[in-house]
Amino acid sequence: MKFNPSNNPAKFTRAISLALRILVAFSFAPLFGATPKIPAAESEPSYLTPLDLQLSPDGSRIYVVCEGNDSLIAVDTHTNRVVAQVKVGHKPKGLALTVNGKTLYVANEWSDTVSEIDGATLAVRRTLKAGWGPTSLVVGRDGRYLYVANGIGNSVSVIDLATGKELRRFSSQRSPQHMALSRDGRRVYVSNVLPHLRPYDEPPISELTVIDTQKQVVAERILVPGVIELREIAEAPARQGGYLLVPFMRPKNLAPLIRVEQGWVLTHGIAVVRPPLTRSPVAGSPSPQVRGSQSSHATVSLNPLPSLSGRGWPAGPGEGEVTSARVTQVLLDDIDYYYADGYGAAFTPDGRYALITSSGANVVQIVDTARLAGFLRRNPAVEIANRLDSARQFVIGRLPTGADPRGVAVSPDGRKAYVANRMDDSLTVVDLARLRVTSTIDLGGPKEDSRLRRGERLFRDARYCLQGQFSCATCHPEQHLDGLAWNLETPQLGRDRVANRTLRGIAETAPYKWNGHNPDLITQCGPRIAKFLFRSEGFNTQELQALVAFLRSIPLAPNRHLAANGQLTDAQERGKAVFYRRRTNDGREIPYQNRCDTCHPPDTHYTNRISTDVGSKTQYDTISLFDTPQLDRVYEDAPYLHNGMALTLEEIWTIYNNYDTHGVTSDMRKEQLNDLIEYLKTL
Amino acid sequence: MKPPRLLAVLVSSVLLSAIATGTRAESQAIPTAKSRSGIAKRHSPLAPQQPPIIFVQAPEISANQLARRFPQGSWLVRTAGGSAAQNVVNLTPEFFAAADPQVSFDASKVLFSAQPQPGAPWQIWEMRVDGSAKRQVTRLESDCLRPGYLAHEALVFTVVTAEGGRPVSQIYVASLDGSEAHPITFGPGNFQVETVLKDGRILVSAASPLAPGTQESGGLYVMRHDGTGLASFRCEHRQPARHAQAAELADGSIVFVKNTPGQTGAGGELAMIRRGALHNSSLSPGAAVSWSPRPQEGAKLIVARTNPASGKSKFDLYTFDPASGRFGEPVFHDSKLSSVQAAPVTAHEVPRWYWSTLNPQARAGHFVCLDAYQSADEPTGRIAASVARVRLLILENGEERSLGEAPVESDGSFYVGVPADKPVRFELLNNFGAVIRAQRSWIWARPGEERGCVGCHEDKSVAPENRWPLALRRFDTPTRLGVEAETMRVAH
Repeated sequence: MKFNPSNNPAKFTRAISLALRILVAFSFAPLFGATPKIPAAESEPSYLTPLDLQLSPDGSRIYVVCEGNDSLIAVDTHTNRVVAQVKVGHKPKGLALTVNGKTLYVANEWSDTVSEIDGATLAVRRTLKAGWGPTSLVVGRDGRYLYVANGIGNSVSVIDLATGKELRRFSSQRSPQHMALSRDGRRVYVSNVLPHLRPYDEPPISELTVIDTQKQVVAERILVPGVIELREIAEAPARQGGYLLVPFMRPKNLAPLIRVEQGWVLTHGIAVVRPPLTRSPVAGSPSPQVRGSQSSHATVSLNPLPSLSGRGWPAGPGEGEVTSARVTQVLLDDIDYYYADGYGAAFTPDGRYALITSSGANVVQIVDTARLAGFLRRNPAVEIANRLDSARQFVIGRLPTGADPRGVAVSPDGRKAYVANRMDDSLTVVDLARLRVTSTIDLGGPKEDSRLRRGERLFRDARYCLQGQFSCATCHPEQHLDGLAWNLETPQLGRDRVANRTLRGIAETAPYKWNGHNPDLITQCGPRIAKFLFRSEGFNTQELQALVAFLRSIPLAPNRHLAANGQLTDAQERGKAVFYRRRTNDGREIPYQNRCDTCHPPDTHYTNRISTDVGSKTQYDTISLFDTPQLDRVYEDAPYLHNGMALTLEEIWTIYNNYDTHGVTSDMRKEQLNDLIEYLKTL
Repeated sequence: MKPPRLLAVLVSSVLLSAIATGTRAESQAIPTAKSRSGIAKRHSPLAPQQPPIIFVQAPEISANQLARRFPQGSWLVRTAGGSAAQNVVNLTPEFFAAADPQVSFDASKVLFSAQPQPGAPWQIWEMRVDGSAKRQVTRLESDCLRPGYLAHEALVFTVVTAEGGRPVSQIYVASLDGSEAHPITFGPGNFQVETVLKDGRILVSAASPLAPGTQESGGLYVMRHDGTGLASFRCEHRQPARHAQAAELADGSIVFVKNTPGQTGAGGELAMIRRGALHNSSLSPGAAVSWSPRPQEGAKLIVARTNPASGKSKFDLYTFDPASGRFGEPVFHDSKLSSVQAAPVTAHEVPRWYWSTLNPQARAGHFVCLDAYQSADEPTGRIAASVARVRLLILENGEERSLGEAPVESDGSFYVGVPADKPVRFELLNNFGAVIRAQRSWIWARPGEERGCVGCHEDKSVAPENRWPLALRRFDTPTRLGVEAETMRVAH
């Protein structure tokens, strides 16, 4: 069969383009260096990088998880000194205590384990196996079960603490990173950092997954529309209705990024999640308690959910069912002043205040909950999600912290709050009676900032953007991606929407951007970022070098699909054969430019670093050549293709490869495609 | 420029250059206020820890146009700071009038506007804070006033010209050596520099509404140093008033003076837009008339105010606490002269700088409106009537004419290309071509500017919804009105 360009222009263009680009790449390789070398590893001090923290039940100790040096630290709250430290697994992220405080559990993200630790001696008692990428965990009230959020596995493991074995696993949404146990112990809340996989031209929807601890089922999947990056979960005291506060980011990725003022690009706030209106057993009407609280306010007709008070959370109706939990979104930003990257959340014991850390703004925000309740009573929920003048009505203070404040915990007596300053190796101590920062606890990390450390600080600091609106980390949570396709400023507004890409393992994957226009990270992150994204001054030369050094140092996570010994499963082996095949199932030779390993060669992170037309251009794209993405840990990078229109790896070929322009797959059996994908996940 | 005026400029420039040279050589021999004005020592109860201030003294302050605020002349003086009673030193004896002192970020220099003799054009000058080393910065034929330091060795200032016998002012930006002076405003509105905000944007005041037949008042606007992003600062017109004399406090709040229509004389009511607030609130207690609030160290202000009990329109300097809304002790007062525009001689934060996204070769700019239905004037925040099209009007040679119309999508979005640097305004039309809403001020797009608007007249505290504007899904947009298609757009 002869190839006719007019029958398949995309394929023809791709072939020509590939030939030309290969020619160019080889021609100029001596000049530019075909394979950039990774800079010599910088000798990096062992920073602590505290992330999560909790107080012992008697308030005498603060336990701090330090992801930088794989440790758990105990701080005496009377002396504000570190009194004990223990090594745990790799990249610990989350911390949980039993009710009596005698046992601690630490989620070790890169070890896929949980460290069980004696609260008195800080000795590791045992190491439990968890799912992929445990990031957060809670212990049931009775101490029998441990619930572990698996950030890579997108699941929640239930571990029987008597046996140390996983009993069952629930599916969460994407990248569950934070958990909380309800005060009555009946529910486990799980927040998911990444949104649902949805069509790339629709607003995101995120999920708060609720697990019923009695029935051991997923009781609710509470949808939070329009937001991503749900973070820590704080539950109000029961007498205040037990509502939840969850920090979020509210992106505007569908409009062209041509300005940042007035929340044009994104805003930061909290989801106020109230229990569903429960039906009375007799009349089926909303419970009297809730109804009564509504009737006292003039806005009832506009807002059926005006009160934060209520009966509390009912038992869930059953696994996976979407219920009517009431979600209201309020912003913590002010007009002209933004508080980027909400992260930690905690209530004071009396529920008077809620504390929210803004890790990109280096502040902890103090929410007066009575004012918040009043504000919600006065304002229709549907109209406040985008209002930038709300926060000043209930945020009564913004206290400066150290760099990159994350977890926040309040002492049992409600007198103090502690904030983990991730990039400062310190804790900020807040006097909650005076609402002032009273001291900073040095956790003992290195005193000098290395270049990489400085670079990471810059990565997480929103001050480089106009009005402090966002940092690099805002759209690259966990140095990864936000799951969205953005409409960056392009030669034609509304065109060339592109999916956000991971920053993990990118050192040797130049050029950058989907159009392949940026030859290196200095170009990618220099004036371009300042001019078109931050709309501000940007980084100076030294800062830029530090930032790029940090970006180049971001490692890939361990591959969960590949056995520790590198041995492939049968399916993976079969998939490997498909990846490297030279002939179709019926014996036709596959053209060189249409083989998987031509554009995704194994020796360069599975990218030939050449832009290629794989037939993915849509009517809204002005170009057809897109940078060939690396395939390392590709299973973490959904959605796929340049604009994120393929929600899964399967869809790349089952939906968007009708003309074999993205490798020859039309002859494959379903099993072969499955095998191919199994192999790709091992890369 | 008329010959006599040009001659005056030349003579004064030569004369002042000589004086400036002399001042550099004899920096100790700075005449005092007394030597110039014959006025004795005056009370200055600045606390010992307070820095010196530079301010304007004038026998008379007029509410006249910007270039005629000091009909009997004025001069900059400096207190020594700290001591309880002291002389002030006249820093500008060479000039007939001097005003608008702006202390540099490192507190070593002062930008100011000055007029060598009556009738000569005001120009921007810079000197050391002790009055030495004066140098002329601007050399335009028009009056140059109200300067402000920008980052990266640049300044912004107000240029006043006469058009049809009436003064018209625009904003200019130049290098700090005076070179590359160019306008960054392009519409009628009598734009005046108020201050440079810490985030790098320039806060300006301008008359509005501007369209024919509407009552004129004045509001605050923000814009970038390349003339892009002009936007109303909070868009407050609940009551007609002129908002001017604005300054930014350390916490980001904006304090300004509000004049209501019909109010005569200089000064007005002190008002404030607190950080994060949508609306301003009144600060002035009692019947005092305030002028030129300037931030002091800490959260306080130095404000020029009249003494209602005296029955005079003379201004003295007082501290003012915005938190309590109360004036403190007088900072400086003189029995005959007004004291205004106090500038503490302290180092302060360098405002941010921006990379301009303009394309100098482009002849067009673009407006993208996400939702024309949004309207702060409506109780619901949205226009109830159906908007079908948008008409663009341009102002050329004092005449207003239509450039054409563009479709407004069902989501309220539209996308148009317009001639760059030309004053334009929009009218929303219904299906029958009737005007539903008309913009009452003039704006512009700079060459290559992609101007994004949340709405046409939306509440400034509302961030946009996240949606792909229908106007940007079309393949026939932008609708070019008065411009040809260009291919010189900047890609990123």
